[in-house]
Amino acid sequence: MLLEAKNVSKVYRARRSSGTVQAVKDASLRARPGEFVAIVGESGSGKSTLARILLDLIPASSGSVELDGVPIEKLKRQGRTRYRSVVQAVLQDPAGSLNPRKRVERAIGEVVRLHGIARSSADVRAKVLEVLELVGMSPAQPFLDRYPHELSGGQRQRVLIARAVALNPQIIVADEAVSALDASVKAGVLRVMAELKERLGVGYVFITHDLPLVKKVADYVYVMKSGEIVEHGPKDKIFSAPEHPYTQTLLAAAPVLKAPKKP
Amino acid sequence: MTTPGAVRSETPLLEVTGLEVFLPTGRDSEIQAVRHVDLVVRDGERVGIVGESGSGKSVTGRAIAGLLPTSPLVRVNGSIRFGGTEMVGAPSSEWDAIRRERVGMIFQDPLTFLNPTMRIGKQVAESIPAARVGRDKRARLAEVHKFLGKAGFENPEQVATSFPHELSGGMRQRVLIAIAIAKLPALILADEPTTALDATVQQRVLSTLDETVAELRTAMILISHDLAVVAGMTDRVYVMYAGRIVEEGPTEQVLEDPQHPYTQALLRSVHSITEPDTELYSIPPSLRRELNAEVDRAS
Repeated sequence: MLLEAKNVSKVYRARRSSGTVQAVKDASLRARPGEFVAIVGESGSGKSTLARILLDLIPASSGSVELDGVPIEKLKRQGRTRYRSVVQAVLQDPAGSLNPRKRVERAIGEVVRLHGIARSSADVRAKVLEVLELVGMSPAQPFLDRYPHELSGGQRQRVLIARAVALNPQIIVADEAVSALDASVKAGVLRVMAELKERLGVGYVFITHDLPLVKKVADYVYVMKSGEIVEHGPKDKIFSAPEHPYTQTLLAAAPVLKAPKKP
Repeated sequence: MTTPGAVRSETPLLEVTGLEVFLPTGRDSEIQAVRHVDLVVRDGERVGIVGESGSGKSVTGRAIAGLLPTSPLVRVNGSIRFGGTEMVGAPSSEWDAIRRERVGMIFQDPLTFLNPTMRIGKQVAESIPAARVGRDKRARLAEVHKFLGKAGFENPEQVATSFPHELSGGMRQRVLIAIAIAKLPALILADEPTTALDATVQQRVLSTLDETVAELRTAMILISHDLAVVAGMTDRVYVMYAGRIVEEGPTEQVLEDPQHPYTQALLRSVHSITEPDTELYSIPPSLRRELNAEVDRAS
């Protein structure tokens, strides 16, 4: 499977003047199952807009997003439904992505039923338990009846990943999915994501401004600035020999706590 | 008993002892957000408070600034002394005076702090004590420009006439620095001042803060979940877990050679994200249970 953005642009009308704002300019990228692709850039670089276009949440002004060579706007109803299960979203604010009035079992179970992954209550529950265990919420049983406010930030984020994983996605688009988390929780969620990649072959489009994290987990990196992809390449190349001055600035700015020298 | 003269020279700028804060969680329930915290800041000293979300670091900061909600359900025990003056239980007028004259504050979200309908210049001017510039408008405006300049703006005149929404996040945060330093406070209290900012902007705001605090010899408390931020900015650090200070010492020493199991685990997880060849490490639930038990035993 190949998810591809081809020369995607997004133009918004400016709020007051008659001008326009180009949020994304001629961006192209490829993502595959089993591959960890990162899009890095600062606020306003257009990375979240590109993510929303990839998720088919907003249309591109020009260019196209293609799944195995088929543009998503050409997909019929069934094809769209399939797209919405093979390409999943995990967004930054776990509290905002979970309905506060739905318990964990219902939050995950609903999408499982909707996409026909399981139908009977027992099968749905089994699937919910399975994905909760997958993301490390183990034993999963006690979490079924919890409301979002009864979970910690890291647990809420893992519920969202579990919900995404329940649909057997091949690619998860994660927009600043771990940015707001404490280091320890962040490491835990990242480990879960890496395990899903190893075990189920899930691929990621990981959008972030956190470079040390990209250095740790990504395979391939796109750097965005002012709506444009200014540089892309395998992680090692981007970090060892960045070519674009903007990439160099980003790398120099990332605050890293030096590890103590081991005796 | 010591003589008054001796007390004056030894009295720290800020001395917190046995601080406890209880916050209501429902009509009949409360949690203890801060548990017996002792903390000292001397003149010109830079102190960090680090911890994860829920560790009580921000509640401690709010208590120090007298900014906890005024409700009979919020209980504060212990002692907070500014230059020897006890502030726990002090009337709000005394807290107002402390915040007006002695403590400058910088928070994560500048928009909740800035008045959206007032130009930046006026908001900086309000922070300058009347005693310093009197009623001379020109002198006051010159001071406004001076402090905006110190906060890293190359065009203070233009910034002074702007409204908050016309500035970027990093610029707003530097406006807060200008407002905080304009009163020439003895202490700057910065709670996650750069958490919402991009890395390049964060670096600029931190170096601005670093330079102004150094130039004015202001003491600072820097509260952050980010150990890398605290590492470069402070002399001494307090590590908080579950409302308690579990470790305290010179920043470099604590980060290089942590003694408490929690600090060790926290640093291990931070390094596991940045070091290429280490396995991602999150603090195991078993260790958290042990730490919680330790905290309960100690309180």
